[in-house]
Amino acid sequence: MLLAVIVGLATGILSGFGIGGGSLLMLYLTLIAGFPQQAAAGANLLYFIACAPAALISHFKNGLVDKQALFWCVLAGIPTSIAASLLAAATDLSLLRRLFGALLLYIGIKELRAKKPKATKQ
Amino acid sequence: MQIQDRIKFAITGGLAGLANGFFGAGGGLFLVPLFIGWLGLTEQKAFATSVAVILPFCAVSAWIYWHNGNLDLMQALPYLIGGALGGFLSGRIFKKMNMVWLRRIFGLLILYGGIRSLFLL
Repeated sequence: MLLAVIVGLATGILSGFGIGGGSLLMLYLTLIAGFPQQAAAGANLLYFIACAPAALISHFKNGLVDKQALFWCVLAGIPTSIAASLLAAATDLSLLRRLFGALLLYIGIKELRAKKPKATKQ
Repeated sequence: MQIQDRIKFAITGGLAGLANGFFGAGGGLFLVPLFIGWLGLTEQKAFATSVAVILPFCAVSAWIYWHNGNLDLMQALPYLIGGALGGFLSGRIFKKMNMVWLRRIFGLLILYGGIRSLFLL
């Protein structure tokens, strides 16, 4: 129980940064805590709903959220979110897990090669 | 905002929704690199905006997962408590962070987990 709170706290800091804490939590839930893939996905979705608002208050206050980008992304992303969630429920568990693994492998290699930002301030 | 940019943002958001709904995670993994590389947002804005975009995706996806019996609130609860605390902290310290090392450590962990997931180890 306490360990779960600490894991959530650590990944929550990354999620608030937008670095992919949710993906790490997914891995923890499936590989260590023994959740089935779809249950881990469900828990992870709830977790993000708990985590993001507090971080977003600061991000909005600091003027770091591009509102136009937000509007157009959400407009297009809501229907695709719905379609993909329905598809996930009909997908074989181990296939889902392998595809997620392949995605993470690709992202992991990219992140390892992350460079210093050229300009952090406009 | 120009019409081309609106379309680009819509494509980016659409892709992120697909990944996020299908895997229950990972929408931001698409958003941030496209925001920076394709749409020219600054790194800080890209990370912060991605959090704002993913939140509504998670809400609609969670609703569907719940309908399909894949949501267990009690099981998830300790992670939610930790996540809320972490989110609060991250908002406070975000502007002072050096992302590069954080991203490299993240990359290593993700790589390890990705290999184990891919080969079902």
